[in-house]
Amino acid sequence: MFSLFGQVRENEIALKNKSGNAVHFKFKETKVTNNLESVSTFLKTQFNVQDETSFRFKKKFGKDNIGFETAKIQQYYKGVKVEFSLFNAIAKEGVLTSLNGRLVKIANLNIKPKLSEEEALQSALRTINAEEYKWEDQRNENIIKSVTGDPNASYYPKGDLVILDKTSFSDEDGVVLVYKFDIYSIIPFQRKYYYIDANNGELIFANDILKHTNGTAATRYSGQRNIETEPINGLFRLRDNTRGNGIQTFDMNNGGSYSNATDMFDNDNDWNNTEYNNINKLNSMLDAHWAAEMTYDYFLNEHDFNSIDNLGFSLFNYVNADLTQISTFFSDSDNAFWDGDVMTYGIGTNLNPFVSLDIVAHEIGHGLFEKNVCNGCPSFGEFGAINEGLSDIWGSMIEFHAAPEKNTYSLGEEVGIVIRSMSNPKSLGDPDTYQGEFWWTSTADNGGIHTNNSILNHWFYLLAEGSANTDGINDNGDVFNIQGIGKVNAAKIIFRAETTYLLSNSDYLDLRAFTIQAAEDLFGVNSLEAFTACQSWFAVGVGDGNCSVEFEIAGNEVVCTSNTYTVTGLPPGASVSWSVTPNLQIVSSTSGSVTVSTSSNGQSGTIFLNVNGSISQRDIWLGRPASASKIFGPTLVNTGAIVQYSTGTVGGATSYEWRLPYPYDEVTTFDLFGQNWQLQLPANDQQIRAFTGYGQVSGLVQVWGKNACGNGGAKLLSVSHGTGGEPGGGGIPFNGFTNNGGSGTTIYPNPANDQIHVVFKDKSRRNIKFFNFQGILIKNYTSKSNTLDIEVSSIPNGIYLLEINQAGEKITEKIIVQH
Amino acid sequence: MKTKTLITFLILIAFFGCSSDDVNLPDCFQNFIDFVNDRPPHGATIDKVIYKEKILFAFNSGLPDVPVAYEDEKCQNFCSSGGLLGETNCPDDFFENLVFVEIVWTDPR
Ligand SMILES: [Zn+2]
Repeated sequence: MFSLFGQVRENEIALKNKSGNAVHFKFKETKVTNNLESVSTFLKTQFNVQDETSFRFKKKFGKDNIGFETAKIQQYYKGVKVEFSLFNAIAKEGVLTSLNGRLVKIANLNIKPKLSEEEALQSALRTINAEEYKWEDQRNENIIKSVTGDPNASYYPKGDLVILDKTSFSDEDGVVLVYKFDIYSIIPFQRKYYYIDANNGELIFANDILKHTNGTAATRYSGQRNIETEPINGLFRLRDNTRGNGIQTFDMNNGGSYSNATDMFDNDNDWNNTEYNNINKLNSMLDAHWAAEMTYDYFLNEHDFNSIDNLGFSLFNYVNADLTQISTFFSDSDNAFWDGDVMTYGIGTNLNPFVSLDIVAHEIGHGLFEKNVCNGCPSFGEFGAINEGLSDIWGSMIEFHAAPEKNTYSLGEEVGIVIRSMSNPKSLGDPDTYQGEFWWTSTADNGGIHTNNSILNHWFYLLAEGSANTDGINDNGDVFNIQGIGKVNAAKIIFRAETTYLLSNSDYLDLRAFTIQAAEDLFGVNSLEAFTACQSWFAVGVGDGNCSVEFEIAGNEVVCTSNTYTVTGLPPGASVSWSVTPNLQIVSSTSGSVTVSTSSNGQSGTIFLNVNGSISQRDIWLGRPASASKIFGPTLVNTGAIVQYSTGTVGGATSYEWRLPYPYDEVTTFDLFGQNWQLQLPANDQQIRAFTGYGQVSGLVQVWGKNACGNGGAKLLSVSHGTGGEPGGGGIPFNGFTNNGGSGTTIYPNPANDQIHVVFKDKSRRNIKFFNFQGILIKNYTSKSNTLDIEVSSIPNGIYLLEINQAGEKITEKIIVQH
Repeated sequence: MKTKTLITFLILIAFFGCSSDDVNLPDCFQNFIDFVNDRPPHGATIDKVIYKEKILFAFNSGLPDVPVAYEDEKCQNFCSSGGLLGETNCPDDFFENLVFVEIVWTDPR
């Protein structure tokens, strides 16, 4: 059927480009055989190009499913590939029916580059100037080696020398010899083909490789969902370049070789049941891909965490694995696991493929644990159980986040078995009480890590949902009544405990402390959330029930007849109840306030507030204060002295009232020469200061408590001056006051400034002499009065002697004059 | 990686008492160690144990959802325990009668 030809007939050109060149032929009469030589000859003749232009198969002729033979043919110039110049050749019965593509006419292009590949790469990297490249992270390098099965594979860019026709991406004409590099950077996250001029290092064109598009997927377990995919060569594959450093899902093809794992392609990005719900269980791929996307979204949206390491860690799913081919210690494929790098999901032996949303999230949860708690710690004992419990929690919360219609607290039901019940562990033979019934003690399952994790699972359930749907009693006989704080806050607490506090040797008692600490960090030291975390641990038998949180009950200290008390900061939906002591009555109440009344006086009462089982209380005073019971202070006072009196706290008193021996004056500053007692104001507290005066008045000191309802009973204290003016009473004489014993003579003040007052006991005749300290007489008086004022304002400072003679008796007092 | 593999071999040679020109490891040992070496370290171990006079080897990868396999000297699986399901197909009295003999291999990384 081979025929020679020149130009095709005009009616065989189905399409021309802007320049008028044919880009699509539909052959009617022209016969071109389906081999490379014929097609090459046709193209050269048709476009009149010289032998420097050649063609090679990119894909040889092969039959498609409706009987056409198709091939892809690439243009070269002097042996160098011409980028984007690719032809689709379609043949039937050995002859081309159609040929489409773009031929680039090139003349006299030197294909010897001035720059080496490495020089061109360095020039590209200078232009890109990324903070971090993919090949700089050894983990990525390991992954590409594993994924490709090539120990030399690397993300380090290799340059291909190609010819780039500028019209293919711009309005400019001309062809350029370029190096083409695939450069993948992590910060910023981008991957592009960079075309670098092979002669001067200029960036000619950059073409995004990381493309994404939204597809629809008919998942196996979760119905129709939207997924992100990657377009490639007109097809789509399960690679999500929009989340972190990417999510990629590979098909293990019911085998055990990671290097043989393949992409799954779709032609229209509608991944439907007809195509994938088949005997090979290919729709499992869609579940794993979608579930990993949902897991990523959950950590980002709910915990502001970028993938499992907060650095966008790439999530790789290996789906439909025959686990027994991975290693002999898998006895079947009813399992899934995280291995430190990637997730592997068994295709199922007795059960369905292990790719349900909660199982995928569980496995990625192990990644979160490793990246934040302990990298590479063997999973064993209580620590291993905590690891499993955390994964079950993330399984449940991510399932709720993405598919709230599912059974949130049961793990794995879609694969054909309920693996764990967080709400009722005992229903599956798992413990709900630490070291209680079903607690695993043997070394099987690494110490029962998939059994004893139910303690953590159930703790979380109680914290989030409360105990209403449980029996409210644990194996220790502890009764509990928990009001849940909701999934969102419960998850915040455990996420913080896991990523901030948990250590590589933590046990349940540690985790209890860490979750309470995390709740206090997030919601406050006395928060209900912290209380409920504590209470929920008590309910599962970890730690004591000594959990409390104090709410402040605001309102008057004293109630005379009735008062209203309020509480603020109650969590939404909290269960609240009020109660009072028998000397109070509740008139009315709401969750935020209570009005109480009383007919009592002089006693205390208490209002109790129960919020989700945590009791707060407020002691208040009912009616008038109690009677004052004690006065502390001297009963015998010095004359002219400052004294202090105080009383003990009087129940219900908001202030105090004092009385002194009558008559007394109320002053703010003492008159230190006054005759009367003086009370220094303010005098409404438990302690007062008084001046005893010179009048030597004895009487009662009194005090009583006061409040808004009235006065309480008074307490009295009888107070007198020293008998006959004798010294030694209470109080320090403020201004020198000489109380001369048996003579009954009082001299004051001492020291004196301007006058010395002398008071005698009667009006007898007396001779009074005033000497300086050298014995020189300064003043001399004879008096029949009972008082005498001695003027000292004009005599110098110093020590003087006052001599009083009466009835043959002489007394002498030392006097200080100080101006 | 080559060095690590060599160390592994030497340990096992010593254990089996083989001569230096006879390094035929039982398949399950090499299979297990390959599995472990392909992944980040998790404290994997192989323990020699005895259950009712039967010598077994416990292959423990340390990975959270990977079961511990008990296999005999001919790599016949005797039973397994663990995995995401937390199931064990070992005899009821297996773990209470299991006698630890020695650690045969630990991941040296
Ligand atoms: Zn697990």
